Formats: sequence, C-alpha cells, structure tokens
Amino acid sequence: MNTEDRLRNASQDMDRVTASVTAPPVADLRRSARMQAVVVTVATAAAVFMLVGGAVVLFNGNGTTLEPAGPGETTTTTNEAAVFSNLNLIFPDPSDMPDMALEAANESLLYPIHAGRRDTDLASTAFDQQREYFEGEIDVLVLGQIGSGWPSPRAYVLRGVFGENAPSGLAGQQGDCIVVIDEEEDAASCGHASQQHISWGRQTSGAWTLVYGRVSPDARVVTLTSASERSWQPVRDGYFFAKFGPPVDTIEYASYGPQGEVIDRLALEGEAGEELAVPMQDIDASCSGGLYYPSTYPRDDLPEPVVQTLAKIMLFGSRCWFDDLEDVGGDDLTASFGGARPSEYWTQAEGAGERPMYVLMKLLDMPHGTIETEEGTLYVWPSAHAHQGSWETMPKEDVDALRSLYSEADLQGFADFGGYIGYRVGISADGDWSFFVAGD
Amino acid sequence: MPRPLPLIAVTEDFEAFYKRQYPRAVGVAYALTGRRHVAEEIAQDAFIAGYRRWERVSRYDKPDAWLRRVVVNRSTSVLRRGVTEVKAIRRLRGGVDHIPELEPDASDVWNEVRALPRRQAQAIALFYLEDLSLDQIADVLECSPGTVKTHLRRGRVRLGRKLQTWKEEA
Repeated sequence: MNTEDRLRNASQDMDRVTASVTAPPVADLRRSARMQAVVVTVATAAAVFMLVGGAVVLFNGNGTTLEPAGPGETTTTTNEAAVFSNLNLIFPDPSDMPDMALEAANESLLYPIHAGRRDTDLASTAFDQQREYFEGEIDVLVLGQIGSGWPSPRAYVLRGVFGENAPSGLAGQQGDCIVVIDEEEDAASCGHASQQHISWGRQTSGAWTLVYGRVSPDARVVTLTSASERSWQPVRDGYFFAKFGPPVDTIEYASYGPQGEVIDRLALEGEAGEELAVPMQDIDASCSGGLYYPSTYPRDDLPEPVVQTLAKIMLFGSRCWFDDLEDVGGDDLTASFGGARPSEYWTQAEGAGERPMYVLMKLLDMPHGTIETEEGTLYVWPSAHAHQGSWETMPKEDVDALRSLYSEADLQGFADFGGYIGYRVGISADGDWSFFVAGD
Repeated sequence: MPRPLPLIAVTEDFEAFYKRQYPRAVGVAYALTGRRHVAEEIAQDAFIAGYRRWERVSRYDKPDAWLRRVVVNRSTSVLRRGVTEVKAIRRLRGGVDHIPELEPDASDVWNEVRALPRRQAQAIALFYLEDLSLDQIADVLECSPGTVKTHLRRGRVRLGRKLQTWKEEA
C-alpha cells in the first residue's frame, strides 16, 4: 500500500473515531467560558515582555492575586519595585487607540502598532508571528514601546519568557517576574535571575503598545501619567491595550542605551579553516539567542521578502524555537551541522554550551553585503563575506563590524587565511534562507 | 475609563456551528497531538475562545477557518511544550477519554505525520482529514496555496520514506 492510500485509510479511521464524538452541551461550554473569565489574572502566565523607557511591564507567573491600590487612588512613588510588585496591568484610556489596535485586540492578535520605520517594522513583523504561539496560552502579554516621550534616556529592551508554557529550554522556569530598571547601574533585573534574558536594544520612540490578557474582575488599571505617578482604576474582564506616552507621528533613532559590550566578545577556537566553535562564556541562559536583540542597523535597502525572513529568523532564533527556525529555511537551508537536520544540530550545540543562536542574532545585526549569483542577488551577513578582494583590501567598516563578534586574534586568523571564513548567513532576494554556515 | 468591550451575544448560530464542527476539531487535534483527551480539551478550549468572541468570529467569512487555525496552533503548542496535560483548559466532562482508539496502522501513520516538520504535519492533517483544498488550507495556515502545496509535497515524500522504512523493519 502506498503512502497516499495509507493516509487515506488513516483518515477514514480517524473519521470513524470522531464519528462517536459528541459535543458537550453548549451550556457547559458557556459555563466554562464564564469560569475562564474570572480565573485570576495570571494563573499560568508565561510572558514575553519588552520594556522601554520609563514604563514597565510586569506580571506574575504563579497565579498570585495581585493587590493594587484601590479604585480612584493615585500612587506616587519613585520606588518602581514597590509599584511594580503591585501592578497588574498597565494601560490608559484606550479610546484613542487606532482602529487597527482595537481590531487587533478584539481578535487577540498580538502585534504592536507602530509608525512604520524599518526597524520597528521588523519588530512588529516578528511579534506578529508570535500570535499563533501565544494566543490563548498566556494570560498577560505586554509589548512595550521604546523610549517614547519619556524624559529618561533609558532605552532598554527587556525580553523574557517564563513559566512552564515557555518554549524550548525555558519550560518549567517559573516564578514571579518583576522587572526593575536601575538607571544607576544601567541594569535591569527580573525576580528570578536565572530566568533573566536581557539585552540592550533599540532606542526609538513611538511604537504603540498592545496588551493582551485576561484580568480578574477585581483587577485594577494603572494609568501612567508620568514616570512616577499612577492612578488606579477598576477594570473589567476582557482584553486590553497599553499605550505609553502620547500618540506618535514619527519615530526617532538614537544610539544604543548603555555603552560598551553587554556580552563579552566571543573567542573562536580552532585554526582558520576549521569548524569554528563558539564557547559559552559565563552566561546563564537557556537560549543564547535571547541574549541579544537587534537592532539599530538600518535595513531600508533590503527587499521586503528579505526583511520578512530576517524577522522570522530573529524571532525563532532568539527563542531557540528550532523547528520553526528550520521551517524558515525549509529543505534548502544549508547549515553547519553534523546531524540529520539543522534543528538537531542547533539543539545539540546550544545544549553543549556553544551558542549558535547568539551568533545568528549577532550576524544579522551587522551590516549586510550582496553577492550576485546566477539565481539573483544574495544578501549576506556579515558584509565582510561579500568582499571579493583580499583581507587587506576589505573596507574598514566591514572589519569593524566583525569586532562585535570576534576578537582581534580571530580577525588576525581571517587575515592569515586571506579572507573572512567565519559564520555567515545568506538570504536570497525573494526571501529564501539559503545558509547559516562557518568555515571555508 | 477604558471603553467597555461589546458584550458577546451568543446566538443559535454558535450552537449550530459548535455541534457541526466539534467532532472534526477533535479529529484534527487528535491527529496532531496523538492524545485523545487532550484533543477534546483543545477542541473545547477552541470553542470556548470562539464563544467568547462569537460576535466577531461569526462575522468572518470563514469562521470555520478561524476555528481550525486555533485548533491547529494549540495542538502544535501542546506538542512544542511537551506537556502531558493541557492546562488552563477546563474539561467539560471529567477528563476521561470519550473517543475510541485508532486502528494500529492508522495510529502508526499519524505518529509519523506528527514527526514531520510542523507545517508539513498540519498541511497533511488538514488535507486528508478535513478534505480541504489548497486555498482553504492556506487560509488556515495563513500562507500561500503554493506554500501549502510545497508542505504537502515534502510531507508526503518524507512520510513515504518513513513509512517504507517502518514497513521494511517490520
């Protein structure tokens, strides 16, 4: 019997099985729906959060009932930790939200509304992809905007995934997570250090923020009227938005927030031409891709299909969702791996303390180059890979871009070899992810 | 104050939709998770979500596509997390299996389908179980019909190899 026939037979057998299925009474369904509506806010929360400039997002992952201030009260404090520990949801009056945002929330689609600049587009695209993974599985999701309208120069992007619903290697790491921004230390922390995935990211302004979540009937809303004043109001069950700061017409770019390296440079092992192994360096993280978040690097000159593919790679790579990442490339993806599938290799490599996903994120945040092939233009990262001449003739900016990933010794290794042979990524003009490889 | 969200008016349409679609939703979830009680939970949870949004969902051109998408995605999420139970889903009937087991050969086939890359497995389940066209599957999976075709082709090829190997080993 061929595959087609076996599939048909298997489907017929499934029809037989489901023919005996009867739907529970619709009254039970209604009762369950009502019960779900009053389940305390974050009973099984896994969370993804971004934070930005002066406002913070939080939640609790263990079903603890949060006790905000009473209705109508205004809490003024400079102790953000205290505020956040009592915070349930953040959002002001959503009545001025764009229709698009209302539409999105009502459908529980998870993407931020933004003003259209490229790097924000990228983030939006990425988050748009999240909806199929998070809808119905988390209780609170907050996507923050970055640096809009706040006097603080802080421009942090915090990301984290917690709780037993968290994907991949984070599953089971559960606990309260209260995000605290410490301007003095240029640091942010979460309630559980080992769950902390923090990276410094873009400083832009103006993205709308969308909150998706269920809240309990006695939950409160806190309206942010300034960085330190919050007024509490009762809310009702449903889905909500958050918007920090004023409506946005433009997005501005600025440099990264903190100065210096957040993560030590990688040291490559092995001789030039050998498979490059990237050691983990004292970083406690289940997915190295979560250690880095791009980017201020402009991508205005990339075709939209390439941008879309980039967004997917970054989304899945930053979370070590290897099956999804592999799907982006499909069967045509060439990767540096020894197993049957790239996802198997990535899983093994991350588990072994190498950090291919960090490298991938880092690469894609570097300037790109192009290579013309018989099949069209190939967009490659880093730009050094596109350089056709000798190492000595490589433009300084291409070499400098590599310094965020490689040590001087590594660069010398490339020079000795005569060209860049480190990790590289290629995406065709129509968005096909072609390779993520290293070596010569 | 936040603008009150519109109340959901549940109509007879929802009940009819629910009764008509429920068994098929269970079937897809069963194929994609391999667990009977989990399949029922996923289907129930999807319909609860649909109930709560029915005012909107009922206005969609294809509310059944929305439902399938929820079921497919939640089934995949269950597999992704590797959990043994679906949490945050309220069982309506005490958590016991109400559907019989598959025949061994059918069970083997669906086991291999689940071992395929996610999109390929979803496309095959929707194509063979639901008899959906490429366009309909594309609606559910939110991709192009061409992409669906590719997933189906690759899935069949990979499945053929696996089933052949299995047969030879047997």
